[in-house]
Amino acid sequence: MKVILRGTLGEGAPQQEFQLPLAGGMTREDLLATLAGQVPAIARHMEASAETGKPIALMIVADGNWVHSGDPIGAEAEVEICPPISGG
Amino acid sequence: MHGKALVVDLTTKTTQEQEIPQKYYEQYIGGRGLGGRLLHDLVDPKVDPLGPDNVLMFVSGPLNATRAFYSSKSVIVTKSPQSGTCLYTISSGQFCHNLSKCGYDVLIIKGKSEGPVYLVVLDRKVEFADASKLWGMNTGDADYFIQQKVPAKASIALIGPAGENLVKYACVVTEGRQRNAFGRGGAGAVMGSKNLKAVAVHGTGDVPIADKAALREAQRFVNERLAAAPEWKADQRKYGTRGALVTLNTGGILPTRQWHTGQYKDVQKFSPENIRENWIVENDSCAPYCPNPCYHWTTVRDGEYAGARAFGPEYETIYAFGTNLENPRFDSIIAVDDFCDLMGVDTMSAGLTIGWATECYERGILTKEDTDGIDMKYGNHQMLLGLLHKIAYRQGIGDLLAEGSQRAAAKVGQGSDAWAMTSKGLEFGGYECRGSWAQAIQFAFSHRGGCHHDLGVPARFELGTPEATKVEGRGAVVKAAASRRIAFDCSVMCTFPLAILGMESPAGLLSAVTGYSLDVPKLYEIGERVLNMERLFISKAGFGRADDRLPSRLLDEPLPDGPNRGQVVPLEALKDEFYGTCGWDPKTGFPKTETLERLGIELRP
Repeated sequence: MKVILRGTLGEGAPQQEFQLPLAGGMTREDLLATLAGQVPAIARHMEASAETGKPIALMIVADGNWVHSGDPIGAEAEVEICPPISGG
Repeated sequence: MHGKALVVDLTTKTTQEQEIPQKYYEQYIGGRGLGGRLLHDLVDPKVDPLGPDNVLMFVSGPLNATRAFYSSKSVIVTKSPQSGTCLYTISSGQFCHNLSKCGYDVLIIKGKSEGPVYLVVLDRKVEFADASKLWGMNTGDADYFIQQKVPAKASIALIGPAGENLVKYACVVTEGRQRNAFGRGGAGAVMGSKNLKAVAVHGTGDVPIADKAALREAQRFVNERLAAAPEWKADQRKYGTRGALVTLNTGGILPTRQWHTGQYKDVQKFSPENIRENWIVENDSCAPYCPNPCYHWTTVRDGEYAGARAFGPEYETIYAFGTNLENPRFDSIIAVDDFCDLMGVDTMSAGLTIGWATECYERGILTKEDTDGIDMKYGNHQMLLGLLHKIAYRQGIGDLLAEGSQRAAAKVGQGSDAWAMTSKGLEFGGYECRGSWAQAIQFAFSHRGGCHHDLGVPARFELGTPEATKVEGRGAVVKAAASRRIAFDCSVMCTFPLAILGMESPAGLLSAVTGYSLDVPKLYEIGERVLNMERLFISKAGFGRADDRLPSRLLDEPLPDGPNRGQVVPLEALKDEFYGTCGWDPKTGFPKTETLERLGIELRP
């Protein structure tokens, strides 16, 4: 699985790409939980979600399709993860 | 606030002071809200926007000149010549700081001067100065000339050739070399119609602050909120409004090729890192009292646009002259941004109107005979400066394009209104809405037209969620977002940090300055009141359900690609949803009597 982090998720490297040897069929939640150990910004979003009880405010697109809660992601997918966009 | 307006009659060259009812401040605060209320009182909603009976108002907010964070904004309110609706338009800068230090909350300009004139307001003294030698000058030259005549810290708001020639989307430019703009809706044409080239204002007085200790505490609260968002702060400083451009593309909402699609194949040309590395020379604030500057100077060092320099371009200009025209040349967009400021043209409406004409040309509806020989194809960056010059001076094809895309489409016909990307005549901000139906409501219902600011930015915070394409609940999302925006616009505060600061920040700052008890629920109530006040004005102007419209491209042509592919906007269902949420009559779109009564909106005295 190719993962592209966009914007502030890259922690100073605005677009960070890396390969993850992940099994197919993992869900949005599984993916984020796996990445949280490697990407501090994602860990912070998950902590904020746990504190507020609101869904994790990250946009995930896999092979051009939205990945919503519970959606499976293919092992060979190209996944883009974007921070929430500021706005009122 | 001072409780006073300065009224200037350009017809008679007279001035007078006018009291503003105290309850208006409690109900509408200032800025957009107070201006909307006064517009309703002073102007027949059916008035000709370019006639002498329209008024042009500079309206300050309670935070102006208090040194509150994010308070260096100024507001113009008038009836728009572009949309025919009530218009508020906001610029960075200290114009309303200076106005407030003169002892006035509002500068109301009415009538029409016989010849070109500019106004100089120095504290309580007003001078009508001959502007015949300035008429025809671009904004940079005219600003320089007036600066020699007024105190160094005066603020100047002025028009360029576009305003003089009544281009429907002419803007008002301010703050000298930065050339910030009251951009949207054609306030520059209203100034031009009054033969008013410029207004210079300089005040030396004090502004009232009810509780200075509480203001310091409210400032500390703002700082704490900012400190809790270090990533956002860094992103804003490094990239500004361009920071989310690639993300918007990933989400499929970056309008491209005249809104055919929401993804641009060359998006990396406009990636924030690329722009920062190749074009940005300096980070700067658009105005004082900003704790986290997000604007940038850009410059072109070589090539055919060498020497071009701009305070920007911001996201919306990149969308309008870049992705929407499939123009990957960022250097050309810097040059366009600079030139639009000099001519006094709104970049968003100009870019989208050129986009409309480009599609007409590509389809053979317009030919080289119509375009003065210009090859108006997507990606042709070399056509842009020439077209903008023609628009500003209404020469050749420019005379048609100066009317904006909706009026131009009505004249050209042949179904071209399908790709006039406007609502109520105002061209859209850069957020594709077929995959974000709250955004579709925003564009269809925005009172100043197809605006990205007016009712919040729901496309952004719902993007990528299943709720984004549900009808039920979208009305409440937009109504709440609108109230938040309006609270900031009435304060008058920058809205960029809205999501970080929350409503608690303006509540604290406003309570400290005004002495009113303004908590978050109260601000939501005021937001709803202003929303209904504006709706009342446009209802009286003749706008109804049929005018809450979107071009058929968004209703009938499914998005071809991106994560929102296949989607269209179910507009009629969304209308029912929004009318129901707001308490508006679903047949007419007018606010119901009980809604106006609940909000304490009194009709014209």
